[in-house]
Amino acid sequence: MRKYIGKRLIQLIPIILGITLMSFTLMHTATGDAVDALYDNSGGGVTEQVKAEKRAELGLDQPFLVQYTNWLVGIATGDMGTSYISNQPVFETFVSKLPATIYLTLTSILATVVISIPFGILAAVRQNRMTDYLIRGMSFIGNSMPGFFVSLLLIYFFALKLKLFPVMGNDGWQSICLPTLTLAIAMAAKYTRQVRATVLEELNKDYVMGARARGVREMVILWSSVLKSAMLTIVTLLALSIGSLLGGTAIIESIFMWDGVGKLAVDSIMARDYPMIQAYVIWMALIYVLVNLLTDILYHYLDPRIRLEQEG
Amino acid sequence: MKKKSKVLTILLTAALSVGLLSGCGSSTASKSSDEKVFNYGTVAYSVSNSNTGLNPHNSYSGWSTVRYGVGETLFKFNEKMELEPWLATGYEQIDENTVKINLRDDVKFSNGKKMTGESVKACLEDLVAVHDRAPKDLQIKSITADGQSVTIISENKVPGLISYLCDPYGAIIDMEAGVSANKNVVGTGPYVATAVSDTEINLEANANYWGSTPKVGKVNVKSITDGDTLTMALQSGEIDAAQGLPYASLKLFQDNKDYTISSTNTSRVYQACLNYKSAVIQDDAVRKAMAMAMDKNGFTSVLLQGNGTPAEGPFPSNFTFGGDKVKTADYDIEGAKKVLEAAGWVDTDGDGIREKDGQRLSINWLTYTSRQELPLLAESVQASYKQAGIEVIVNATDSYKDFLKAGNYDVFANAFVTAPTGDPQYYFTTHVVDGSDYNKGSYHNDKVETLVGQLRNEFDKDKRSDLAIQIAQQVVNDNAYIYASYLKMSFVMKKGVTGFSAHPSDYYEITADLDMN
Repeated sequence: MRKYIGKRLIQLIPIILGITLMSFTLMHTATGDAVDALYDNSGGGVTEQVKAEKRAELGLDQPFLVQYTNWLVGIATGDMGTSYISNQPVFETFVSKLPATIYLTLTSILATVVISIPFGILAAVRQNRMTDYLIRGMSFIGNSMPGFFVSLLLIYFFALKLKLFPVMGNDGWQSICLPTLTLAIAMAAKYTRQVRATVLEELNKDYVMGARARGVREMVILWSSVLKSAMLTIVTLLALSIGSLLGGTAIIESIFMWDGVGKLAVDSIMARDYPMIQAYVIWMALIYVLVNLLTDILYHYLDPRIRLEQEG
Repeated sequence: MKKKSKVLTILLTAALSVGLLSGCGSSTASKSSDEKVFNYGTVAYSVSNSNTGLNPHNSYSGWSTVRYGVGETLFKFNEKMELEPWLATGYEQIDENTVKINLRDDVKFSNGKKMTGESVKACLEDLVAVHDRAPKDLQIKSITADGQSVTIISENKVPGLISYLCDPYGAIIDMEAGVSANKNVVGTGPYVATAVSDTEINLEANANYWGSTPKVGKVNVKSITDGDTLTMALQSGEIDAAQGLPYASLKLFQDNKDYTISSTNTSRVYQACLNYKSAVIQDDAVRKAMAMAMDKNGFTSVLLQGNGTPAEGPFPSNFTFGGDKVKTADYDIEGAKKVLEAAGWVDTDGDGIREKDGQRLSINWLTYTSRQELPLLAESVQASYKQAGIEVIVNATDSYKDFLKAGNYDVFANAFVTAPTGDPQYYFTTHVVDGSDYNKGSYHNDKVETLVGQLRNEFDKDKRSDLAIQIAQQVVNDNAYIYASYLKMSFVMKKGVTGFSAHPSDYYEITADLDMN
């Protein structure tokens, strides 16, 4: 297993290099200029000479490959550079936004699991009955509503009318409830249907029929066998969602004034803040590779067939 | 049993009375200033506005320093946008390049240190050493300090020097205290920042304030960039006042006994810059027809729901050189049609759009969405120009700079604060002279060049006003820019909030007068 993890971590190097080179190329082929954007943001009124001096200071007057190499050397020595816009160190700025994003990711995933697994199983067990129709209907509605609309509805009812939670901010456990619910509603709506479909598929398999014939109780079949098999699909989906959530959710972060990396990334792209964008790209590459690695490790423990294959 | 009931009744009555009394005691009216906390939500404080932090020598952060009561400038603007002394007592123009500024003797920084000529000198020297715009504006050659005065010698004649010092970058801070890692500074204002981040500033009353004692103990300035969130935060009571509410939300608070609205006209103008590199725009008749076919009244009264004032020239009426001092053509669709027909633009194929020499009269209208008024202006002209036979293709994109650079547009519509220092020179030197930063449409007029040259050298206030009117009139006559409206800025606050009002300069928000009753 250790060898496997080591191999996967080594694979991370070419992935990071490839992704960063690609994003660097894309940024430099875009027509906007970082220094123009910088001075436009600060009100303009500077001469072309000042702009040229700034380009030289930031190293933007050098050939593309030199710029990329300098940036790579910086990364290798632990220096991610300075933001063009805020003049603050990129690493510190980025890291300062991460706790909020990680916190929101964890609560959203937890809420999604708590909602989708019981409802998915219930819909499967009660297939084609009123409960099933109701859950599927709710899931359809949840899937259809865009996140910003859900968030505004939740703020209106829970913050404005019932005054149970604050409208925005990150101050105490109450603040996390509405952004969590907004993200969880969309994800749970999707996963409830997925859990239902997977559980139904498992329920029709021979081992379930065999267990029933042997007189094993329905609840035991469901929780010990069916759910364990269904977990593989659920874990895969959750892993992808965790990756996406750790990348931040710019709209939700803007509406709830949740100061995370999603909003930072969008602001940086608008301002052509290359060092900050590159930091975001590295972060996204890292989390997807690491989350996929963790998923594979989880497979190893959840599915004996994969374990045996790897050991064989 | 009876005795027990009596005792119980007395106890209950006492408890109720205490409860009622304590309830009365918790009302805001009887709160001391230390207990009063003012929560303020604004769309104007954000990284994308380049004004986060409180260091006035960095980008536009000075706006935050002054707006939120941490720093003050040597001079300030009154409601009529006239200059008034603030940290200074006055100034003397020694000669064309030298000005002596006398300082108040009773001003202390928030750390208790006295503000002297030396501390002002150190602050201004750092400003011109590190700021992007200030050196070009002020053109300072040297500064000398003598007790409670500073003498500034400029490289060239700078008639607007005192006005430029009102720009928030001119906020006086203690350079010995410097700028902290979280971009906090020691100023002279009524409030001291206890925490500064990109999304929030927490302030406390300055115990060393030289002016009247601040009436509110704590102020929290929160960046709320989403209009709906800002609206609902005010409705829920999480914030006590809001700046930058969407127009659609303003209606919720108008004629509502629980809220007060303070509005003022600002010099932020919504303007259309015509691109002289475009063949169709080079046609004088087309530009004239475009100016005549813009329905400014309809735009401000219907689309902006009264939150704007129709514009004539670049400056609103609260400036001596603004408002109807500049004359423009009235909204006249029939007149615009005649102008176009006389120039040979005729609808030959009957599709409602005019043609000339096989060229369709189609205008590529470039704008952006971060100012909610601009897409509305695009919609307005699209409708009114069509009546005159001009097609408008709207390109509302936040990547507009790419299009500007590539030159793929006929008109660029934007929002711009034309007189941030109360003086007209800034707008003209950045918009209408050859090679200026915002002259994106490459407009040129010899007369304008000459007049701006005179303005750069004129110290007399009245003569400067006259020159400004002449230049603006020429620009309007050439239809190089079409001015649509001035922004009406509004603050909405809970009933009981006083001393908090919108200022035409957009510089002053939190002051020592702020109170909550």
